[in-house]
Amino acid sequence: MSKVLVGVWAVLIAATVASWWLGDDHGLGAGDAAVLAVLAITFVKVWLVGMHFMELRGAPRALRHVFDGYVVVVPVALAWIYLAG
Amino acid sequence: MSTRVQVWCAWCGPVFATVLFVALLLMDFLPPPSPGMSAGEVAAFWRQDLDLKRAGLVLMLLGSCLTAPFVVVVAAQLRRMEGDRPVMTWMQLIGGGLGIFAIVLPTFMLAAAAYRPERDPEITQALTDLGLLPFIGNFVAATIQCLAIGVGILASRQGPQVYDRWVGYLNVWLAFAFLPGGLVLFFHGGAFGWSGVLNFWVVATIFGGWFVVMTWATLRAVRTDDVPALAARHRVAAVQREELPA
Amino acid sequence: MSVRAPAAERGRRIPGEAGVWVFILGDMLVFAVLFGVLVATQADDPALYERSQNELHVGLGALNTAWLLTSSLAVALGVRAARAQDGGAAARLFLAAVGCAIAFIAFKAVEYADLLGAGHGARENDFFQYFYCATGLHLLHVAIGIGVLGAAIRLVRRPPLSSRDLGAVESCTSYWHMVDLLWIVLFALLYLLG
Repeated sequence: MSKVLVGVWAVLIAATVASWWLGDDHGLGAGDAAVLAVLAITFVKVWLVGMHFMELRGAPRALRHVFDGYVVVVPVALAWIYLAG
Repeated sequence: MSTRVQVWCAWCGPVFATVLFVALLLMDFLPPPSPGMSAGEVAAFWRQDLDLKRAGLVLMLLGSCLTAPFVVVVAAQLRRMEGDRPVMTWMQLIGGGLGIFAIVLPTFMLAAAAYRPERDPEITQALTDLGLLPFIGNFVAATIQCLAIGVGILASRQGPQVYDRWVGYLNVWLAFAFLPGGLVLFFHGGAFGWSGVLNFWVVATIFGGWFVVMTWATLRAVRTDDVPALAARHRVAAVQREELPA
Repeated sequence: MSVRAPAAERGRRIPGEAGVWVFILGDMLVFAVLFGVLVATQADDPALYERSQNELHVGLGALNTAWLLTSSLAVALGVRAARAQDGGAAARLFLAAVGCAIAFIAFKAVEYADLLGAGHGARENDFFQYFYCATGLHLLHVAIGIGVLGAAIRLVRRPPLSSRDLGAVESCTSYWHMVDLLWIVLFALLYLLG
């Protein structure tokens, strides 16, 4: 069980480094693709924290779905604001 | 004293919120004039539909009366949860009482701005600032009141569960959520200014939402309030003290 | 002997007390609006946003993210220890998390001092207004979170832990994970979005 947690932590650290790299205009160049990638990675990280650290994986479905909804709706809304601006 | 008076008191809450909304509409305060406006622009704002705005201000005063019955019915129900030293009940009274002041004070400041619109625009702007800074930035009353309700509910393990615990958590959260209102003192615009998306729109929404939740929760609480049983107990005690014939 | 729910019910527990999720979700919702404001600010004037963002030390931001991620790991491991009735291990892990939080605050103070020293105050432009307000509000959450973790430490130091105690501990730790979660997004929007 703890191994899973440490594994999740490692993934989160790696994702942080990856998004840092992308944000620095290395991976996909400047512009929309990089921003959307950063948003996606960021909310995958949020989802992982929720599922494994907050233990929402084992929570009643209602709470789980609210959180899942957040992790989907918020980045989509942010992407929309970014692209529409 | 039946529970009927308490029910009426509880309904004063949402009525107040509605009156407040209508008043703000009349005043063209949805949202309020931006803090970034020049003195001339503020003066021009007040010159438009002036009597409508004044009517809105009077409506705010009338509406604020309605907060009093709402505050006391919440106090009455909170009292049932606390033990012998109902400190949170009392603190809620303080917070709620201050809440009336939190509306009345800014209203009169704004009324002064609207009173003689032909004034030097600098003065009109100063009076408007005097009204809008506390109207949005005065988190004190709300924080005290919500913290009192929250702690009162969550810390009461002995009394009956008059209010659900989640209502307590909601109030604690709200107490903190109102704090960023203080940031209006720093900014003349943006999301944290007094007309900004966070300090005006989000706060207004959660303020309104609080009334919905508290009215619902208080009405539920009043329904479980066995006032006739209380009255019966008092009658028995009075008979025993020979103040009443058996 | 560990206090664990029977297998059939293990998939249906709200972490902590149900009511604390009102608090957590409410905060997440309000911060979501703040996130929107940040992106809208960038979209409004991308050049200004990027220029201002370049004054920040992304490395510091990433390091702070690492501090909070590590603190969350420690907290999650601590909850497991508490459930296994190992109050000592749980307390040590929660204390480690507090250590990470203090490191976060220290680095943040250095960052603020550095930025202010270079003349970038909250009133310079919209980006910096939101940078200081957003990170400042988050910092307030971290400070409160340290207190909340402190409460959890006090709880686990007094064995045995009833299921109500464990529920209270979980309420505390859920709040802490929210603090971590919010920073993950803030880091991305404030340091990387340009």
